[in-house]
Amino acid sequence: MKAGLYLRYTTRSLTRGGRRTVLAAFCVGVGVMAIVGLQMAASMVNSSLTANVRQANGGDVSVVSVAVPLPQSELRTFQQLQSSGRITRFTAVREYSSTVIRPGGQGVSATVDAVDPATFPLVGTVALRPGAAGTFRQLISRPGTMVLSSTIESLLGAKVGSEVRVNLAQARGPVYWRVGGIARGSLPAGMDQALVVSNATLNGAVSSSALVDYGEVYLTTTTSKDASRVARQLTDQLPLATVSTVQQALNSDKQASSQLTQFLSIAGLAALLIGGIGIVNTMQVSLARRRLEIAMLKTTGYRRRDLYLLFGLEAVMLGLVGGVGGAAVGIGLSDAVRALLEGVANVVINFAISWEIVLAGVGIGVATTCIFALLPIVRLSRVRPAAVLRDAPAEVTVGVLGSSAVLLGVVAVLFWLLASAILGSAGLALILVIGTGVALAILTLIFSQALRLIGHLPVPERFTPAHVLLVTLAVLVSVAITTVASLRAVGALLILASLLGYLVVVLPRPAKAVVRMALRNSERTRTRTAATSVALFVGVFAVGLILILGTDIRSDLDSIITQSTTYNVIAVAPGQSATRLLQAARGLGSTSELSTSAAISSPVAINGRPISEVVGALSHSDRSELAFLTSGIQGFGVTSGTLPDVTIKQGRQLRPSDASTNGVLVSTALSRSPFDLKAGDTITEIDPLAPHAAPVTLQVVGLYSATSAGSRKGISITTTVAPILATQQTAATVAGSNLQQVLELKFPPKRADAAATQLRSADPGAQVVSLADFTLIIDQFLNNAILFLTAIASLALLAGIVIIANSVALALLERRREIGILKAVGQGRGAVLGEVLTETAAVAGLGAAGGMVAIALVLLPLQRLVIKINLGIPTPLALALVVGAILVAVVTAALVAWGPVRVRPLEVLRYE
Amino acid sequence: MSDFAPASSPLRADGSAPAVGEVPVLEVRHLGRSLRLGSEELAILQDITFSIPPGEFVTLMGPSGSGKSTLLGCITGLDNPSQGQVLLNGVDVSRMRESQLAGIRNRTVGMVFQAFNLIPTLTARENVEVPLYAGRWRGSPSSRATELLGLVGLSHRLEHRPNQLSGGEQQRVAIARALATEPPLVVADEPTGNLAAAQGKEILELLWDLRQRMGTTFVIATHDSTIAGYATRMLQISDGRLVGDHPGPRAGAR
Ligand SMILES: Nc1ncnc2c1ncn2[C@@H]1O[C@H](COP(=O)(O)OP(=O)(O)O)[C@@H](O)[C@H]1O
Ligand SMILES: [Mg+2]
Repeated sequence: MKAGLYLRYTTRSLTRGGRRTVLAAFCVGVGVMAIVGLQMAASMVNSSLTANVRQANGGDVSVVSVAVPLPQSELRTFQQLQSSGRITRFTAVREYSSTVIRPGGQGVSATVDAVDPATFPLVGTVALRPGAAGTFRQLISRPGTMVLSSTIESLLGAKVGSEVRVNLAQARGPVYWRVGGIARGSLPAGMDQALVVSNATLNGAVSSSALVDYGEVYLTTTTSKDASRVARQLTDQLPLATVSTVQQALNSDKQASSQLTQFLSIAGLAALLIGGIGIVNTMQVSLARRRLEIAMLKTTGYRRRDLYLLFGLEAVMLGLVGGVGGAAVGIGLSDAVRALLEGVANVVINFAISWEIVLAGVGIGVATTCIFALLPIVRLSRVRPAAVLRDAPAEVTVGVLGSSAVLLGVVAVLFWLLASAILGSAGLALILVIGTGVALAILTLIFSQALRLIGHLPVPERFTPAHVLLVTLAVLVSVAITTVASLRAVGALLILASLLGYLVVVLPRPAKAVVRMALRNSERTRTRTAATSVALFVGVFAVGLILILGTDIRSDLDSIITQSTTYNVIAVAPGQSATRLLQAARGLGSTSELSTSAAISSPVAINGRPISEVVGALSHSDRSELAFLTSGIQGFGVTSGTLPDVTIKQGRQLRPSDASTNGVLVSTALSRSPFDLKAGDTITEIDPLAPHAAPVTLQVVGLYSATSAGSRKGISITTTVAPILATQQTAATVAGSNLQQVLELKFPPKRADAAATQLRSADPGAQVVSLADFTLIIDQFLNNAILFLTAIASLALLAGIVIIANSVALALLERRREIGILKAVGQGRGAVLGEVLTETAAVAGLGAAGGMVAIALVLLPLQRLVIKINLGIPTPLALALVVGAILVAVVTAALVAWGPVRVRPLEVLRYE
Repeated sequence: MSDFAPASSPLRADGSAPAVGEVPVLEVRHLGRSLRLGSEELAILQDITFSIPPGEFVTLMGPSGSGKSTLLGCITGLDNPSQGQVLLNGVDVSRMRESQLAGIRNRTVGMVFQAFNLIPTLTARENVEVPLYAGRWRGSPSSRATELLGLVGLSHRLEHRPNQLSGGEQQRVAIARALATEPPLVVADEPTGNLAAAQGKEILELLWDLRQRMGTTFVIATHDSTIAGYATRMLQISDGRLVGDHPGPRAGAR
């Protein structure tokens, strides 16, 4: 019965709230949408990964070569295993390096994986994107037809049905393969960067003398116990390969997907927090409008707890509406995120609605609303019933302020509990809540002090010496700031702001009055006004930083890469063709050439200990790192004065005598535990591709860290192509059979791309890469990062708009009587609106300018330490952002203020 | 309907304590209210003492700004007196906590204001039900509300919202709401201040009529001397002091 009246009161209050109710529900909805969408996408990833894990592993056990391909001889191991019945079937994938030529002529390095269509894939099938002209097996069986992994497809931009030129190492000539299809999700483990053809297609393109080696072997077993036994045996036998059972693959997938879930949850939580701030704001307005009503309820005997119940019910209903709406949109969002992740993660992710998450989302919406509504509800329930007698301002005593702090604490704790539940980690949630709280508190403090200053700015009737002096001083200081290169934009903003000091004096008197009132008003309810500034600050900061970092990093990276001082084109080819390539490069106008040799080699022992023994005790990731750092050797013409361009961290640089003693440099990364390598140690290497190669023991004479072409600018472009650096003689001794020449060529930047294209056609068997081609990959990465950050930034801006709308509404509500009086004494509607808009512009401008200052402050150390790029805020961008933010704020304020400023004075002043 | 028999006790012009055994509905002893404005202490009410036995129809007269609203605020526990005591039905409410006061207000005092203060989202009937839900009303709030609205002559406007009612009608709803929980005392602050003279007169007739039927004690603050014509007792306040306490024109009327 009581519930009946309560419900009716609540629903009608919500209905009467109109736009404001929609706004509050919208705030909740945005948060719930983000949570539901992101969590559900993460759960789809999770279940898709676990559902397809055997298929993704390529079989019950996958063997993936990390750095050294498996020679053909190793296949015997698998044949024996099969004939002994311990494995049922296996399939081996041949690996071949290639450069794929984009339509524009740039090359993309890719691995060609040649498979046997009769056995590959061992389990399941390779799902293709719509548009393919057949199944994977059908397509791959056609001569000259390839299937691209989605990673390669996105780098290449090739369409199904188009012909693509592929430069294969040791090929007879360039080959043209047709794109038959594009893998929808992942190819089996180890084949993510591949373009897949059949063995027959590959054989038709390369010389019959070409080496045959394998990148991956997949196998199936009868039981999972067999699988782990076989996996253990293979791990011992092939110490440098990554051997994974389905179970192991599952575990690493789970780890990856739980990180993803956590990341997405944090993003969702941020949206929820922003929504929460919107709720506080909106509920405050809607309850403040009912101050008298609340006082009235109290005079008829309602206690605080009755009111908590009544308004709590309102919050619950608001949360329900927002939660249900948000969850519904969130379902749609999850499909979009799913598609995005499918593209990024190369996994087939199937759409599935998880009703648990949807329900939890609605619950989270209700909980968030209640938690944040607590602030306005408790505050407004304190309205003294005497307010019905006299519309006295709420007395703010120390007691009220003190309990507000307690209340904030309670809200923080409740939100922390909610965050812990969502993230599944109380510690992480605590860090997030405290971090956000402290940051917001500091910002609010700073801005409320700045507002106090603005509130006291002089608006003199005519030029006075003191005023002119003050403004001139401000202008001069601003000009001084512009001389600091990275603060130029900030200085420019300050100059403009200071010049307003002159302008205000020459304004006509009524306009001056408006400005004066606006400035004084901005100082009232400073904390709330500061919230507006903070909201815009965050929005401008995020958007600005993204735009600046995005454009600056991209262009600087591009220029570093293209103007790299030592080389901008790299070519790898067998000895005899390398000489021809060098000739061709000179003909194309190369300005410097460095010729070294490189070969595939693999370690058999370290300090005399067999590699399988060394590797036995290592973790999965240490094992692959060791494999990377000890497989492959690059030879420098030390005798003729060519030394590796590296920094020696320990020991010494190479010298001519190392040719006879096999002295080498290894990466300083090997000095860390558990590898613990130092100068004086030995590594024994072998040529894995030569049938009867003899091991060669190398003396470590030094440990290097790879300095890089762009090192002065902090960007690492490694100038070494193999991890072990040796003399040319040593490299030839270790792996003479597969020795290739590496040419590092420098062309005038503008001509590097064209030169690379011409070198490719001069020798299709050579792998030629222009460094500019890397920009493709970097661009792709940056685009994704920028997209994500922009999404977060727009949430911040959205919150800013909601907060502005609410605080303008609240301020007008509080000043209703005052506005009535102003109008009664003859001020026009325009003047009142002008005051509100001027005030909003000042407050917004303060926040936006603060955002720019913060960007400058962030860029300053970043510039020195991390990126070492000359990052500056372009002044036009700074102006555009600040002006844009002010415009958004003013338009929002105008929309909100339009109705209230037209209030008839009589309406307001009738009582008392 | 009402448990209260109309009071028939003789009226005391001097405001002295009532006869033994009879508890006054309202007793105010040496009431003072001051406000701190900056460094100054502003005395709004000073040393006010009077006592009202059940069934009186009291007008509280005084010029605007004399302290009438402040006094009513202290009486009803909306405001805390600085000195002195207020006893409602013999219970001292001047130092009570807010949560206790809420119960007292619900059961003992009904309030009517110049600005009606109806809840705009609720219908007339629902507005009258509001206090019934705050306390523990034994019967059906809805039929009680209907009955009271009938009593104030609004049987035909039960489901109308405040903005669909005239000022006089809104004030009738407010009166019905004040009487909903059968409080022995109803306090009204300038109940006719927002109304045209004719409507104001109707409202006063209604209040008088209700006093006759239900025996409720009324204290009505006003600066309108025509209202004084209905009083069984007249309190006069000026500059925060009680300057007069006389029998009214209708003293002794039943
Ligand atoms: N909160 C307050 N702050 C300052 N002055 C007040 C306040 N409340 C009442 N007063 C002053 O107390 C005096 C009495 O006010 P009030 O009780 O409203 O008078 P009345 O209802 O008789 O017109 C007035 O002079 C008024 O200005
Ligand atoms: Mg008054």
